[in-house]
Amino acid sequence: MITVRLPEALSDGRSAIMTMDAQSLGDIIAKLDLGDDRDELFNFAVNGELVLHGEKDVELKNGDEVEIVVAIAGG
Amino acid sequence: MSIRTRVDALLTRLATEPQFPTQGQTIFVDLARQEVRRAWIPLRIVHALLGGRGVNMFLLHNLLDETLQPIDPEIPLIFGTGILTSMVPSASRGNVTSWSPESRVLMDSNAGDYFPSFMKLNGIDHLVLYGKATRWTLLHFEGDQPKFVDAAPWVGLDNIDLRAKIAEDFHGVEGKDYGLAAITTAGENLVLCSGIMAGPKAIYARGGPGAKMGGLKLKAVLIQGRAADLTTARPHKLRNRDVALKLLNTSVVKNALKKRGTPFLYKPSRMLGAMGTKNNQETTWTDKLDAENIDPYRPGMEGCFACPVNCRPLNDMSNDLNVRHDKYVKGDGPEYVTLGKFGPNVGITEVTQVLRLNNICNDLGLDTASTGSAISWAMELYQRGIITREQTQLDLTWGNYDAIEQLLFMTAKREGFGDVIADSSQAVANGKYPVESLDYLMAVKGLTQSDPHDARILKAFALGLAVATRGMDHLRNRVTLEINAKINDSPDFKAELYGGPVAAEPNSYEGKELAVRRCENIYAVGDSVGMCRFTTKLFNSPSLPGYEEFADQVANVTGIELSKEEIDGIGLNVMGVERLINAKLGVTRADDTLPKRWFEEAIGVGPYKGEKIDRGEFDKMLSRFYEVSNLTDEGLPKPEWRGELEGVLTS
Repeated sequence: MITVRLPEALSDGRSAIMTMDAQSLGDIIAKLDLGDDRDELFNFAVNGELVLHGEKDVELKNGDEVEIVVAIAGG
Repeated sequence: MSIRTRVDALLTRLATEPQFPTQGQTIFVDLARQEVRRAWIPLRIVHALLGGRGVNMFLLHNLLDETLQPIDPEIPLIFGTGILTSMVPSASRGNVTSWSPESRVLMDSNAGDYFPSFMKLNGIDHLVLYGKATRWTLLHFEGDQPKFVDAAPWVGLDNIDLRAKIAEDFHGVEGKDYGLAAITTAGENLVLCSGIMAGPKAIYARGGPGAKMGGLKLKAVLIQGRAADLTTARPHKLRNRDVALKLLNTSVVKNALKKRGTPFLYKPSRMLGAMGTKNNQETTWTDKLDAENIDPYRPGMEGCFACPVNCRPLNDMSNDLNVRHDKYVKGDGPEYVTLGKFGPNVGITEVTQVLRLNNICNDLGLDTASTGSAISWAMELYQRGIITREQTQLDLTWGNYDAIEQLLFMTAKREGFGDVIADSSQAVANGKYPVESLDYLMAVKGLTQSDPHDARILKAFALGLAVATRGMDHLRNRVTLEINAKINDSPDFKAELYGGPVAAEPNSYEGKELAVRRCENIYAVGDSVGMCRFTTKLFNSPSLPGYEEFADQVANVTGIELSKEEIDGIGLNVMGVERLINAKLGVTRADDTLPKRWFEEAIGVGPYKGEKIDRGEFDKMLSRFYEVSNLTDEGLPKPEWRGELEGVLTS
């Protein structure tokens, strides 16, 4: 099982922490319906490490923790 | 040639009446002689450089005597307001420009809140200040008419007390009745990392504007009233509604900027292993400083003049019994920069300590980027034994909160070791550190890094920091969207955004020159119209207002029609003129580089462990950047374009 943490903006009535079966981040994106409609604000982190490209192909294993992180620029 | 002769010569080439609806005056103020002269910027300059930052560069290029020193009162301090400032949502910004006493290259710094808007609301597009006042002076404009007021009642006051006393003495409310740009005691003491405060937190921060203004013996500029006729060429309010809706419907505004502001960025940076820590010796830090941990101390959000976004978090620690309850128990901020510079970069782990240091810096008028960087540099020198307790009289061990707080007050007064911090990046040149200290200075072109992001991983960030005309600063050209996987994984969309193929991998050097070029252009245009960087297309989102909205509103407000290509060309022109100014100040290709550490030491943690900057690849990327920027191998405009620019600047 994979643990997924959602930010407030994406929870949409769902629990902030969910568990699900998934082989890759692509599976998570599909199951959460965060595909093409997801905007540029949100990034994935796996086990505390940010994913900056090739996100759908990132393989997951049992016990992994996925977090969706808000990424913006500052001044 | 004296500044007065230069001003005389320039005035013969300027217009004697407004050139388009809403155009404000350019007012030349000789503080030494208390003389005022007025003109309007000709249309050919506006077509080439628009306004705000762009026209400031035209003025500086004409008035700069590079044989002097930056702090010399013959070097002008130039305030500019964007061509759309105060008239379009989120366009509330303006720039201040000079020769930097801190970096010794171009100084150009941007601020919001209210002062730039009150310039525009009173028909002042540019304010050129020179000559040293014979006594501390407050320049008081009622409408566009200045009075030279003896500033004795306000000298010695820092930001909190100064703004309270000005409100009382001038019977008004800042932001409603007047705008104020003022220096604190740090500026009076010519502290090189001091800024000009444009509000409780808003600061013209970078490059030492506070010291530059202090060198003119000018304590404050107060602009009171709303006297200008800002009748636009065509109706513009309907289009303003589109702009506001676009802003408010963009996810980054709705879900981040309006809720917690920029501290959100702390978390992705530390997760990436790119959070500058202990003067960039390390690159990740505690999750205790993540934005959500500031929530209990955030009573609300504030905003700049007529901006619907309100992205500035306030702070209030009054309910926390573990913190000191004095005037620094509440304040305005912090932004991500301050969180990083006074958190990981100096070894602080407690949110309340960062908030307090933020509030102190706002009061003392210290640029948190430069001051935080100067302190972390000192701490590394202390760690390495290059400087000792004997010199500092303070224990500069990482995370020693009490020493850091004390050092801020000492810096503003130039007392003890504070006098060294007050010299910022110039501490070696001024003989206060040994030369080997430069190996650990995180600066480019004499300016320490603005933001805490360690750019050894993201090569577009690294290139941007290297080529930025004012020094090591992310706000000039950062390709922020490189941090987003969804965009990186969409090659066609990415190519459309940046005008050509840009590698998906953040640590690749391929195509990054295109992305930096595109960002540098649009941000320079944004500064020239007065738009906030946070809400300009490409900085935080591809969906925010950009050239289309800028061109439409420039046409509606001024009647000046510009195509998308022309407006993009203006962005390039601004950079070109800035490079010509820097060339006068001795800047060459060798200065478009990065701190030694980033070439020689690899990232030690995270998904990009082992990453650093390869000198050969960096040099090739720099050459490609020059080529797509129409620059020579030395980083100057190519001859044909240079001729065109010099024609505009000197005709």
